[in-house]
Amino acid sequence: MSTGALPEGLGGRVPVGRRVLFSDRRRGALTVAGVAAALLLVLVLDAVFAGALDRVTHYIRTSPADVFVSQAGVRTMHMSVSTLPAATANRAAAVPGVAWVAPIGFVSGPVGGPSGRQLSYVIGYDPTTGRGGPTQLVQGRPPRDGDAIIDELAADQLGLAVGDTITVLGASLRVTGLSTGGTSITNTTVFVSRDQFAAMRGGATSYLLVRGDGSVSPDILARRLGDVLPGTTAQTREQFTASESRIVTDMSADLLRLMSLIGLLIALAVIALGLLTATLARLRDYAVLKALGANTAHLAGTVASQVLWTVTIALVAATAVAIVVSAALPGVAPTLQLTITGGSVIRLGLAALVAGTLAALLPLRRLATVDAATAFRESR
Amino acid sequence: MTTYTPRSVPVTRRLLTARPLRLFSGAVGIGLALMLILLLDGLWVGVQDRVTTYEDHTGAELAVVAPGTENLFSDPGVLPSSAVSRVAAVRGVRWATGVRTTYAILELHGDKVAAALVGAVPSRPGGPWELRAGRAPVTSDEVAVDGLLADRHGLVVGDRLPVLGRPLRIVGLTTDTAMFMTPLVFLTHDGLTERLQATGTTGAVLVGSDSPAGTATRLRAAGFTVRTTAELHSASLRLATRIFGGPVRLMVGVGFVAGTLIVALVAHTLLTEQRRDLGVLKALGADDGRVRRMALAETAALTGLGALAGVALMLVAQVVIAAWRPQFPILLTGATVARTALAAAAMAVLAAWLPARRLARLDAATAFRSER
Repeated sequence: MSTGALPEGLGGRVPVGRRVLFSDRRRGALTVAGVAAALLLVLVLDAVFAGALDRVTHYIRTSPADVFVSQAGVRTMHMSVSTLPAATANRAAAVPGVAWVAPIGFVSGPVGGPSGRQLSYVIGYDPTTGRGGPTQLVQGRPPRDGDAIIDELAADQLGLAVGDTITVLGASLRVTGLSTGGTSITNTTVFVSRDQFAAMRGGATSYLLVRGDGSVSPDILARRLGDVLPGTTAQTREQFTASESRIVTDMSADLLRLMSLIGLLIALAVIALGLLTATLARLRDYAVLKALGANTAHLAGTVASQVLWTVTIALVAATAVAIVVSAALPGVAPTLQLTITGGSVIRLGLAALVAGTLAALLPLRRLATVDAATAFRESR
Repeated sequence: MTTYTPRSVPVTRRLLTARPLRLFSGAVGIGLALMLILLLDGLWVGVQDRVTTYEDHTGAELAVVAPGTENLFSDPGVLPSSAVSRVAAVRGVRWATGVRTTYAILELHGDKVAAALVGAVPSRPGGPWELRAGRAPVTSDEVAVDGLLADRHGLVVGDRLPVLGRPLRIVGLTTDTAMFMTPLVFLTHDGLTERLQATGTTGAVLVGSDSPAGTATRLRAAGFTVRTTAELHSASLRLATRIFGGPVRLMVGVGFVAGTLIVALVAHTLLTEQRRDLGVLKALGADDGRVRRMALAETAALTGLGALAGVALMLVAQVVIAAWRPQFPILLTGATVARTALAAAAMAVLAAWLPARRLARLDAATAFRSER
């Protein structure tokens, strides 16, 4: 493909495409800004889901457990319910290669404070070992009966501090510590003791967290556990994390596709509009180039270079704005996390180039029919 | 001798329609941006309409729930089974039935599908209200699934659907049961209780009453936590707003910026091309205000055309999306159109600022310069 520069024989390489695009700087800037806004739309939505994915998997990713055991057919925690048979924990502990087993209670329910109410995952764990509890306490101490650990973001939103009273599943508990990383766009996470959980929702075990002693790999350990524990699903931490991530990706896939399509259509329209007007405004210049010996392929190259310039600058601008928005967002909407990934930027850039190429068809058609004699006609 | 009769010339219209292709592409560009705003707004209205589908169709006036429970699916509580008979015994209660609700992730052909499970007592309120095929579940190994979910995954009556580790037989396909992102899946109350291993309990008690206010007072006096259907409806809306409101507002904001930039681009291009014509008008005596008003009128007309294109594109998109992904409910209401019209007007005003500023500096001599 031609690079959009004049052919060597015409006296050196002149970046015609770039010059045409920015010959009217305002129009060039508006074109790039319009495309950037459309790309920003796609990038932001992608970042919203990537951020949600990061938060949703936080508890599992940061757990010291190698294997998670859940009810048969249940492979996730988010929007899920799991109940294990009573003897499962003891049977799991007897499996060769198991260092420790931590049963946890898990339920979705409301928590409330002076400033409102939030949906929460309530996890009942054994505070004496700390297994299954918060990975990190940023303040306070583990819970005893009648106590609760809440996420620092939720504490801020609910107007709670250590020592205050929180309503969890309808019961009044005292906040004794603050954890971190457990609040997403949909819910927060609250930790209570197993006994407190049993008092509120019964003593059934929802999940088992299993740590291996290092003698076998997590894959083998998960297989062993699956073999001896009837009515359960055993997954390694990586499998469980991947499964949890799939909820977000599967649920958001269609919405992302739809919004990406619209965003790219807008980008296509803006690029087409910008290129068309830039081309028509400089039609006489193109005719001069033709009169000097440039063929249609060279002229097409100038349009292609305009697409490349427009998409590249717009993508850089959109990414920069998205980064700024993601940095500023915690102050406005703390639970809405934007995670901009390199993969998402590259995918968007490639899609935008395809849209830009399609958009270039209209001006290309016009250039193909331009008459070199136009260069010598009187204007107007 | 001929007499000259001064006539007003529709200069703005002529300038605007001088290049139909440019006008058309500009209107389509603006239309796409407005369609995006319409679509997001319509989707949001659709989401709000859909998230309360179950609460709106239980047929109950009241629901007795566990303390603290405000939402049937996102924070389902647990009540002892005996609560149903105790509620039924309260004066004013016409009927009472236990119902169990929860979200669950179904695994269908390798996809993870979030579903809202409902366990209802057969032949009692709380179960499916409209079936397009088959019947409501009667035994604990039967299930009725949302018709759209069934279509998407090729499920038919007679197939097996794995729910919480047990394959249940599909006996019915329901209509109007696709909540946003979470289609309804109906089991029997016993079936869901068995899957949750929660024998001896129920989730909530749906209550029919001819005098809901008085009955609610009596139920509360008896120690129950009571929610009216309206309260459950509001709680679902509040939750949806908290989860989806932020991203939707963010997207609408970006769509608005994109639209404004497109209007500005088209308006700027038009002005640049018309500089000489406008210079001629100035040379003929048109003052700055007149020329500026023309630019504003052109921008407004362009935005108006874009708005029409936006509505037309939106109607097409609505049909395409309904066929492609019917689970995305997009509702166009008067309020949606009015909000978008307002956004379009704001875009036009913002976008007209740049050309109007430039026109104030336009020199009448432009008309006599050689064009290049």
